[in-house]
Amino acid sequence: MKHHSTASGALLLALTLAASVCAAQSYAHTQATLTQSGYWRKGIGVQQTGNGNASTVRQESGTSAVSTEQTGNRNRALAVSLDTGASSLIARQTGNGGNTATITQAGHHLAASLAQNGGGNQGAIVQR
Amino acid sequence: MKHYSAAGIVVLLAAALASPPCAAQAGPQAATTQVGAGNRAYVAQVNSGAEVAARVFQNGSNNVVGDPASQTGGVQQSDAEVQVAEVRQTGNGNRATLSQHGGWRAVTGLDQHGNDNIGAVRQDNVSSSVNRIAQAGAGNRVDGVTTDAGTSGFDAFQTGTGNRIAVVNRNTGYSGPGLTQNGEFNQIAAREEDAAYTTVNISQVGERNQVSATWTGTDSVQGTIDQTGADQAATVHSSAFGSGLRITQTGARNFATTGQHGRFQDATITQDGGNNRGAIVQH
Repeated sequence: MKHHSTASGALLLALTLAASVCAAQSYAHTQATLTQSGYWRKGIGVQQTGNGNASTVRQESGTSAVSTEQTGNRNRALAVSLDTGASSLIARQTGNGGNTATITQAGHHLAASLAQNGGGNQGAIVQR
Repeated sequence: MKHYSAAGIVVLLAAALASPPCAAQAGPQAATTQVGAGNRAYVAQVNSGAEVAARVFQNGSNNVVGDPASQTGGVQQSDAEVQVAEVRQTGNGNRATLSQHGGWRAVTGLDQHGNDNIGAVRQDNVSSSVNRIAQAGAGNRVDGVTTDAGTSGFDAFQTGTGNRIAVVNRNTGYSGPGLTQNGEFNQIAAREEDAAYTTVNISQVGERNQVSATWTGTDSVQGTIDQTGADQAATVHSSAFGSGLRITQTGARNFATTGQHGRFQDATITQDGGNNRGAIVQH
């Protein structure tokens, strides 16, 4: 498993004046799990290339923005934000198919965007 | 370890954070785009209180937005003041279900282009509803049921062969289904149950099309059926309190009949062509 913050984390920090995490993975069957809580703006970016990857992002409270990009087949993306003042969740999956993306949001001012390319994909958005 | 340039992620996050959702949107917004075959999409917006909007776009065949057979899944919205659901599907064998509950304004839009597609709309306990359904192709189906609505509008357009529209308004007021089909072997079934002050407009152009309309327990319903073509049939059963029906058929070998039961019933059948048959029975 490769899970690390890159130099982009610092750049995001400057952009958002908040805690930001950027993870990039380029191998198959990897998993990223990121959790944040607390107030103020938070930005998380996950990028995975390969097959059978999994990404889980969970944010609680504050203002959040999550971007998950996966390229390959049979990948899974899960993004959860709870009790947020404003939440923007984006998931993009590109491949031949078999990908799964789930976005769950609760709070105020919610926006979710899900894009899947390929066959046999499953996408779910739940907003409460 | 491969070190990725994260410029793309930086741009996405910066854009998202620089313009938080609250700046331009009144409530939860959900958008899903799927390209390919055999995809499934599900959207639920529950107890949101404000305006919610869900949009699903699918391009390919055998895609599903919910499950019309079991009337579960799909786009589900409930208890928001304004609910907007839009689904567009391009391809064959697609399925879509849109469900809205509560709130004072419910709006749906469903466009399906291709063959053998099925769309279903369910609404209940809304102050007003607006629906617009468009299907182009053969063997398509649209099925709409609105229950306990202050006002209900349901416009459906189908172009092609072997299509079917089925609409039910139950316990609604000021319903206004407008149903249009262009092609052959198409069918429309429109049912008004305890729907007050209703106006039904049905139009079919083509051959071998059929209309079946039933009005029960309804106060003041006005219906217009226009059929242009040959071998078409229109049948209306009314037990409403005060109804006005006008059937106009242009072409040959058409058939129109209505049975009206109760007070203040009025019916007119006009046929222009040869070998047509018409009957009005009032009791």
